[in-house]
Amino acid sequence: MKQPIYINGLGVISPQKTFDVEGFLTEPIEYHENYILALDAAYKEYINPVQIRRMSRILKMTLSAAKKAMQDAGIEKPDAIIAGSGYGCIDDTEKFLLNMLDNKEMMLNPTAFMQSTHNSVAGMVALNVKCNAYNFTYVHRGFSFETSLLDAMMWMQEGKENVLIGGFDENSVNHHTVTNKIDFWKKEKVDAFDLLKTKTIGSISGEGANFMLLSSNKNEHTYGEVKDVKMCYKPNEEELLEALSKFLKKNNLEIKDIDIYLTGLNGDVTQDRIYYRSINELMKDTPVAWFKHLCGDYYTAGSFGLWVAAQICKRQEAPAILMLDGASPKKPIKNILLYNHYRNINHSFYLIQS
Amino acid sequence: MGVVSSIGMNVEENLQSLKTSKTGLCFTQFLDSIHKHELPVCEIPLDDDALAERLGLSVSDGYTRTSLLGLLAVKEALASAGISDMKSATTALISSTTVGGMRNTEVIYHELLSPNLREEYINFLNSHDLGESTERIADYFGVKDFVTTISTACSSSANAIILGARLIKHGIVDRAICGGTDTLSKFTINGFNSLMILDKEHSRPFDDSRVGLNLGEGAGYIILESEALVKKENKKILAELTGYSNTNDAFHQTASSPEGNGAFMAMSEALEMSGLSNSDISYINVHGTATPNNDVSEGRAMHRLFGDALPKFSSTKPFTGHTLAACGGIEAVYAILAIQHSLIFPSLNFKNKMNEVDIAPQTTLLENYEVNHVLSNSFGFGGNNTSIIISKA
Repeated sequence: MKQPIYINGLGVISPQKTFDVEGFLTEPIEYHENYILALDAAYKEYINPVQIRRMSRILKMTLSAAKKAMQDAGIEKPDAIIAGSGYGCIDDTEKFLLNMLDNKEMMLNPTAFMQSTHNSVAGMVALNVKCNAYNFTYVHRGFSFETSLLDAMMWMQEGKENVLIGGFDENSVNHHTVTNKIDFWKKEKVDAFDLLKTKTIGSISGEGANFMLLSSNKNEHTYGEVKDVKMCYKPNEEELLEALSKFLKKNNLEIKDIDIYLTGLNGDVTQDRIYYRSINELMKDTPVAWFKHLCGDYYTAGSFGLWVAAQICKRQEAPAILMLDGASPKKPIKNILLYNHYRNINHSFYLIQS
Repeated sequence: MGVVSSIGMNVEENLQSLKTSKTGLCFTQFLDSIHKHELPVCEIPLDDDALAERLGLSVSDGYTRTSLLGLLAVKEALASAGISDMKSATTALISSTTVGGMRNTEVIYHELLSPNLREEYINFLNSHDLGESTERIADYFGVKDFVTTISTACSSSANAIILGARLIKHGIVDRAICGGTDTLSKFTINGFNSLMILDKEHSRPFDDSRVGLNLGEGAGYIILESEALVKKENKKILAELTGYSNTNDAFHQTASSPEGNGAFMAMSEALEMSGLSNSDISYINVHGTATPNNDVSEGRAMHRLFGDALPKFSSTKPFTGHTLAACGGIEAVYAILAIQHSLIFPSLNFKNKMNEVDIAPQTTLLENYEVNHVLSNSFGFGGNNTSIIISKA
């Protein structure tokens, strides 16, 4: 990419203290369930009281996170708004669906239907900051956020200066019940920080609203630079290794140049064993970090991973809670390779540089 | 290009229906809704098993109606582009949908939640989300290089076309299969009904008496290929994508601004990109849903942009119904047909101009009309406005 792409603003609402706090994971919270929720923020500080009453929780989370990311970057109106979500506004979707089924299609209130569409988040943010520019919503499972990032990066090559991107997904009890039947989640109680010690299938179901303001301008707001992102659809082990090798080569890097290897390990013994094994072997001399014990797993968890990488770049420190096997990265921390996948289907590599 | 809709299971059948003013509007045979005798819809007259049979598939393997319609349209598109080997060029599949597997989910929702799930539903446990149908299509045809899904309400598949063009422009892929698929569901029928924008009669775009839309289902895809690939393979070109724009109205969550600001910007920017002047546009395939709000907003935007020199325009939604995420793809196919066959399709059911804006659509089939550049509009909830321009190659 000719035009460098900087992360200049962050707004992240997650199960950790990531919003309106100064520190970087200084007081990590350990969860003990297979279903974890984001910590509610002081939404009233970001949304006017008339509007807030009609909004669902995910709309409050995403609007607050989006506004925070713009404030953090000192930008009032971006040149494009691009959001990604695997399940969209699943709670409102289920609400309207259940009302419809239980009330035999009578006396239905349209509010939940209106808010159930996947693009209601990006549309709402545009409405809120009166942004008439490019507005997109990607809804492809574990590529939802990654396609948003790639799209933003293409636009910035074409001259757009400030692009707001976000990944969001919310937990819902019914959806959890359904996906539990196909072993998405652990059946037993699990201590999140010991997730990798489990030898069972499934992960812990998380959620979050993770927004970032990407800019072509490097300034005092800059956290780090996104060098590249690559998605791989259903690769076998060989294809995955080849994709990684090409990815590094394209960016003129070798494995030894990677200062932190940030993984999306999620504690599902079948998934972690197959896919991370070969890359982990390749990266055996690189300090390894992970993040899903903090945010849980969900389709757009990669956006939480990118937040982690951006914070590490700016602060030049990786809190111990992120590091595996007590590793500690040498400084300066320059290159972070993030590798994530969702259910062995949607694999992605990100390269972030300080 | 490939298309399935209530007026035909392939491009040729759609063309014949468009030429003979044959609408797909009917009462549903397959949806068990309390509205089934009251709200007409444009339904494809085949059940899921019959659709699956055409593809050599079995519904019980977890194929939703949305996936089946998408598969049928992509299959025709690939055949029409002469593509049999996905490895011959870097290929993207960019699909779109608004409700994904909802048609199937809503029928078995309580079953899915129950502890004693019947075996026949096991394959539908992971079929609800919007990416699922895209992956079914990718796997059926062997697309691996780039796979994604867009959902921007009724502008979704027009946006899929934009992304495809941009991926090619940036050298990320050589070709892109772009479009969308959506099925009728009780969820959408009741959703739109709760907003009171469904018509119990034939919808009447741009007519003063219009009260709302008719819902439809279908899928439409076009295949974009880079200039280099087309030259290398010496391929027949159906048309050229010469302009596009995506804007946001930023006016209301579900309604369009009365002046059509987002629509005006989308059309103007698409024109600017194409380098064409207003008078080069031969035909506008309007979004034209026949809701009181859309048609005034879109009509005013067209009037502002083109003044009294408004090109011929029509809405093909009275034929197909409003197919939501699929309409941009289906109407892109219709734009290509208009160019290929020198036709302007009629806007059915129009009688009197709207009070608010002094414009009238083409109401009869125009034959032997040279169509060089088609402006196609797709607007949606969330303020999403998209215009694309398809030109004679």
